[in-house]
Amino acid sequence: MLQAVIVPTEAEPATTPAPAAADGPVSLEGFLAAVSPRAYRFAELGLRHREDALDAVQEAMMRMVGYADRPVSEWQALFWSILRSRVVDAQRRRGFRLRWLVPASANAEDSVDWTDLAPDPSRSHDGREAWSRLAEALDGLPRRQREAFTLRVLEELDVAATARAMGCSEGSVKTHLSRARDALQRTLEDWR
Amino acid sequence: MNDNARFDAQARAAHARSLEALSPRVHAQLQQRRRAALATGPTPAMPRRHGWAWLGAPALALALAFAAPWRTAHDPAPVLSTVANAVAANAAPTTLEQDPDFYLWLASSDAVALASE
Repeated sequence: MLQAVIVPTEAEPATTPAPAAADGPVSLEGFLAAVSPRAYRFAELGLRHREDALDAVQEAMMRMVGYADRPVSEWQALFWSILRSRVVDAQRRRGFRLRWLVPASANAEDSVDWTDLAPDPSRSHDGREAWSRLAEALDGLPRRQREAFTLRVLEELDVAATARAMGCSEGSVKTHLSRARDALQRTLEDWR
Repeated sequence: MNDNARFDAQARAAHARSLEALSPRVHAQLQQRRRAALATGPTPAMPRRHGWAWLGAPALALALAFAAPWRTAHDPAPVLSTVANAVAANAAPTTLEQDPDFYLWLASSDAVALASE
């Protein structure tokens, strides 16, 4: 089995506070309420299907209830680890489905949930376009690279928590992240 | 700010806007499913693996149904077998190579006649 080669990367910040853990939610309900929209976007990126993404998030929340007695500091990594495996399971299950039975809309751009609530339509349009471009670019990455970028950059987990969530070493996280950034920056050149 | 930091900031901004733009429908679904998850409690670790196990159960039962009678018919109990072998070893030669009569028969005219048939 080949191990991921550790590619030298730029200095990673030692710890980046995870958004939902920064304020230390004291109840599991509060934690799940804070993390569920982010979890939905994560699942949506992996599955590109609204109902599948909602199912994966619900399954992860149900599993998370069993870990309510664990220290709050572990919840982030635990939850993302569970959700990640739920998404992978859903992807595998979907592999068994016949492609022609999947509605065309499932693969179309409208698989991204978006509601324009902003008063400025142009800002809203720009936001949707930016997210669609990022989602499409992430969709083109290998799964592990997508997970590393999403958890490390978008969810702002630190390297150790990302490694626990992905079930790999911290070196592998850095490698996947470095490769993901390279690929994404090639696709989204104007974002640099 | 280097390229990576600038790129990460752009990606986070796009992500933040995507969170703001989640539809009320998805918010409502998430809230409903969160309540259901908290009310239902934890699910077993890997429920679907048990499903596969149930699929394998008939095959296992079939294999046992065929294997068990065959085993009882052909394999005596280990203890009895060991005892029987020990008794037989002491009582008489068990193979042709150990039987002196076999060598006597080989030297006889019967064996030559049988070989020439």
